[in-house]
Amino acid sequence: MSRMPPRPGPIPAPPTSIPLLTLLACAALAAVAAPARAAEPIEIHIRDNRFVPDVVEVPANTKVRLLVINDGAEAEEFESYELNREKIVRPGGRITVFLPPLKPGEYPFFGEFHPETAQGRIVVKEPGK
Amino acid sequence: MAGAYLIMLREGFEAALIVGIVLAVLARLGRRDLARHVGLGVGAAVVASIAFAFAADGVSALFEGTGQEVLNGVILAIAAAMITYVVVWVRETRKGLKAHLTSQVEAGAAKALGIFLLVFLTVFREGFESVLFLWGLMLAGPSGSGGGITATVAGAVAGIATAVAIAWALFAGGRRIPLTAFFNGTMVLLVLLAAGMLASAAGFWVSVDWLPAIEYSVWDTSGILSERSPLGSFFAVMLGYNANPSLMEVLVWAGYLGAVLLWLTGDRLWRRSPQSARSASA
Repeated sequence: MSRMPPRPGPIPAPPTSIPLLTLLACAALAAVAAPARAAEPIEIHIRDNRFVPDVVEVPANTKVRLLVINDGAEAEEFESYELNREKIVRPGGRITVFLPPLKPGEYPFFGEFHPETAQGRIVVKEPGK
Repeated sequence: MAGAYLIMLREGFEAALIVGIVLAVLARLGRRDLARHVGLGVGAAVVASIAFAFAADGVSALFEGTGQEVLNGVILAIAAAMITYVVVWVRETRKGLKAHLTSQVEAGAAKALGIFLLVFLTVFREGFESVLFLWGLMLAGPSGSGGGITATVAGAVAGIATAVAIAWALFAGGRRIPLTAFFNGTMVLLVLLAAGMLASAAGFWVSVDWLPAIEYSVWDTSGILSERSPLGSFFAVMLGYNANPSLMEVLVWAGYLGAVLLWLTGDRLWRRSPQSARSASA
């Protein structure tokens, strides 16, 4: 089998445009994807390395925001494998956890830094049930 | 201590892997002159990570308290773009086209900047994530899983050392691999790393409602192979394994890989068509 001599290919667009395009894409995304204002957030406090309340009911298929407020003197990390969320809350600090529309069921969460005591769950229910 | 060790092992491994690949590729391309920029990138990233700890409150407060996720996503996306840039550059250099050999000299500054940015962003992202987590562990109190400041620092240092040792062992073994296999292997690995980074950028933006999840959980294999397990963590870093992704993350991952594959095969098709046209007319 005879091999054809390699032909020079087209000169590709300068790859230096890649970072620029990424930045533009990010900016465009920020402009269009302004989150729709959800209802008031649901507050969860952290006291004595526990979540108060430790069971939170939310409606199914609805975007919900959780406001996790750390009233304690120790840092905590709000974490949930089921919800794919992981975020540190400083002592005296607060974080917002955005929940996507969820199917009915139970979604446990815990405090990574005090997992023995800091345990809770989100209970997602169909409205009216 | 175990918490600090594990987090630094994971974050450190991801950073060490990228740095190791870049150094190995430069060495084998005969471009050791660019290695200095890798060192600069690592150094700047370490300084920036520590500086970030002091600015963390301000950053978190941005975008209604979602600044950290937004920043994570942006850094990951740019780092993925830089990986793509390096893959394109390495491929063109390997082809050794005359036109490109000239432009390569001209665009030396861009290459240096690209490599610096790639290393800086990768190490900075892992770095500030680690700093925030370690800071949290130290403040987690005596009953917390950190076990105090000394234990946290000791665990962190041991974790970084293990990560670097594993990455070094991988690349020490890589020296004996034949050149073509080495470049094919590292390029595949880089493309997979970039795809995983873009998907997790999408994951960060989904988590703060910047992007729709479309479908919140496409599969959940955390019962079979958790991302927290050593093996799951390894696959997560190397191949972008996600135990519980949203449809958006899957689409971004597949979309990026599809685009890269199209670019690779499209280039080859273009190359072949004039030849087949000629052989047809002959």
